[in-house]
Amino acid sequence: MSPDQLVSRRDFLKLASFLPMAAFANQWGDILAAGNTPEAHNVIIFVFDAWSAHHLDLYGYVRETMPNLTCFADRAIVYHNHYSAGTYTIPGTASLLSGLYPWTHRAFQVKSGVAAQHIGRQAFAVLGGKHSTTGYSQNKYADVLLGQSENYLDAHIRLSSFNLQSGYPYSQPLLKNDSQVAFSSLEANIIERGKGFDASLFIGPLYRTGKLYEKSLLVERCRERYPRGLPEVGEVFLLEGLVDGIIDTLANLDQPAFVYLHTYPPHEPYRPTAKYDGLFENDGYRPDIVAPHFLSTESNQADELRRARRSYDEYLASWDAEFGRVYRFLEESGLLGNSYVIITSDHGEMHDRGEIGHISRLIYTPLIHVPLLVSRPGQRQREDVTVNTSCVDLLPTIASLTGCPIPEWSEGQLLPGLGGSEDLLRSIFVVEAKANSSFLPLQRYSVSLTKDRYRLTSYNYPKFQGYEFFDLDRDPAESVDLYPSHPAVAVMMQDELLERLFEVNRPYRNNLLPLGFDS
Amino acid sequence: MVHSWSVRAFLYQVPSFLLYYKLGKIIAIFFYMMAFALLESILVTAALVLLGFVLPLKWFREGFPYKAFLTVSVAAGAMIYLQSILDNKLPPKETFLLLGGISFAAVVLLILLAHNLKFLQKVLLFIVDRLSILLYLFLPLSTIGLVVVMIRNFW
Repeated sequence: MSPDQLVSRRDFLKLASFLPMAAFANQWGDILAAGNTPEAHNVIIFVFDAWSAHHLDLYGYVRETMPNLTCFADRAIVYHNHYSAGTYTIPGTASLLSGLYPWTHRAFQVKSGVAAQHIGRQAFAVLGGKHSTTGYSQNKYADVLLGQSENYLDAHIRLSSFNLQSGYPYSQPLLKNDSQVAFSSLEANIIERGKGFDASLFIGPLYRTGKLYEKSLLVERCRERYPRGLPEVGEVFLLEGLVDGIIDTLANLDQPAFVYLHTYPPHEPYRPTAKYDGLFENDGYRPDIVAPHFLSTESNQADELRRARRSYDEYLASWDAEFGRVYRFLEESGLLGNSYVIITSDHGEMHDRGEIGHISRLIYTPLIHVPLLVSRPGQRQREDVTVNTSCVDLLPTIASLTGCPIPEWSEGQLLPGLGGSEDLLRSIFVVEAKANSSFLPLQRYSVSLTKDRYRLTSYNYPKFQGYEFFDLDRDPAESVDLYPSHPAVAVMMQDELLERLFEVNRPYRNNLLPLGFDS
Repeated sequence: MVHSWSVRAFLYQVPSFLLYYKLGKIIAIFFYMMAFALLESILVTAALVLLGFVLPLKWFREGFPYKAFLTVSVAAGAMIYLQSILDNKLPPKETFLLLGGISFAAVVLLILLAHNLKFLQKVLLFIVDRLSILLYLFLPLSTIGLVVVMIRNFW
């Protein structure tokens, strides 16, 4: 070795033998860090579809619909004024997962997904590096959104996994790389669901007949436990079977894990078990019903609305009994001790103004006020947060809790009690625009702005354009529209809403030009 | 017939697709439907060929083109009716028996008529001949459809 040589050939070869170890060192660092910091906690999100906070004793409802949830609330932060960002599954779920309002992620329509430029802007992508990611949705429309997240999911549990039937051809693993187009081609198209014509002349109707026959056999077999028929989501399932599947998933987590579990109950059809069927039949509760709205798409009579509401409450009670099993499992397995457990919904449910369900252009409290409960690892005391919060707040909050950088593109804020501060004058938006193109500015829409105790809703449709304004403290049923008297608060909120609409429409205004409209 | 029904359904859906899909995805959906229609057509044709082998020569194999055409036409009518009544609940057993009975009777009657009326045979064969031109359109589209589906899912 010459004196000017710092490292001999032999020394170089010795050092080179450490290279493979050096390659792993980075990963070891991550593993050790994950084991020693608070970021190693699991994050488990339960989304119960079409679950309105309006129907929970926890939030002051007269019927005791969910006692097990109330037990869970004793060791959680309960958000009393939490709102979804949409009025049905696609916009609501997309906002929850992305932290973006529907006017940004553009998932407006029933079979649509998030716009291509926003696919990477979502919870699985944000947490994916530090946590194993698992996604499950029993709702096929939300499953399309999980399909869009396929690249960020370690495990995508297929939507039929916990059902009694398995009949969604699009969800076959063979088509998983192209699930959104496969979904639009096969579902409600080549093979129709419910009423309508299939694009497949022979296979479609024969396949559906076979599935309906199978369903009728299963319904009869379970008639004793489910007197009103089995719960269904296109395919029938058992509430207990669904919960068994969830528990099994939770028992086999690769921790630390980020898990998204989107269950169909208490979405209609409301099918309570025998034990809860008729539970509230003679309780004497007779809710007031507000008359149909000009934009109501249904015209159900008051008695029908009350009957549907009672069925929904009984179904909630059935679902709560099963939720109790999940809660006990979380407790006994120790998951409650090392996980953030979040329970919420994608949107609410309405039995008012002639409407049953949530496929509506209307925006009222029962449809957008959803439960939110967050249990911190090992939390023992209940905390209550009463300021307005939105589902777009979940993503930044989760990112912050797990030590991930808060995405700058998120339109949400940190939730109070989990790093955020109570902002009384926070503006909360809800967007419903299923008749609007995803590529054009908002032209046909219902948009509401909730601020403090007030709500301003703007309806913009060919047959109805106008505003409604309510004082939610004095008039929680939103039956007295204050807008005609033009209160100063309403005018200010209207200016804010119009300004915001102008902003969110800006990137899409040029798209109108090829269609012959002036931008 | 299978393809035409599929194209009708596609055109019916296009206005809603335009709300949230760009042209590329809408074309991809069309190719999915064409690929599925090809598989369905092969199955229907195979069933008819099988029927030709199972039944006595005179009943079905003699004059196969017009007899198969009549069978498929009646079956298609029955299926369209079935699609119109299907909902979330299985229709009563009687509906299926009636539909099956009427369809079967109509096929037998029409085949008998066509078998004995040369003029009717000629008319049917003329229609079959005209319709077969569509094969030159649908067959390549379906083949491209199969390729598109494979490329989108395997690459």
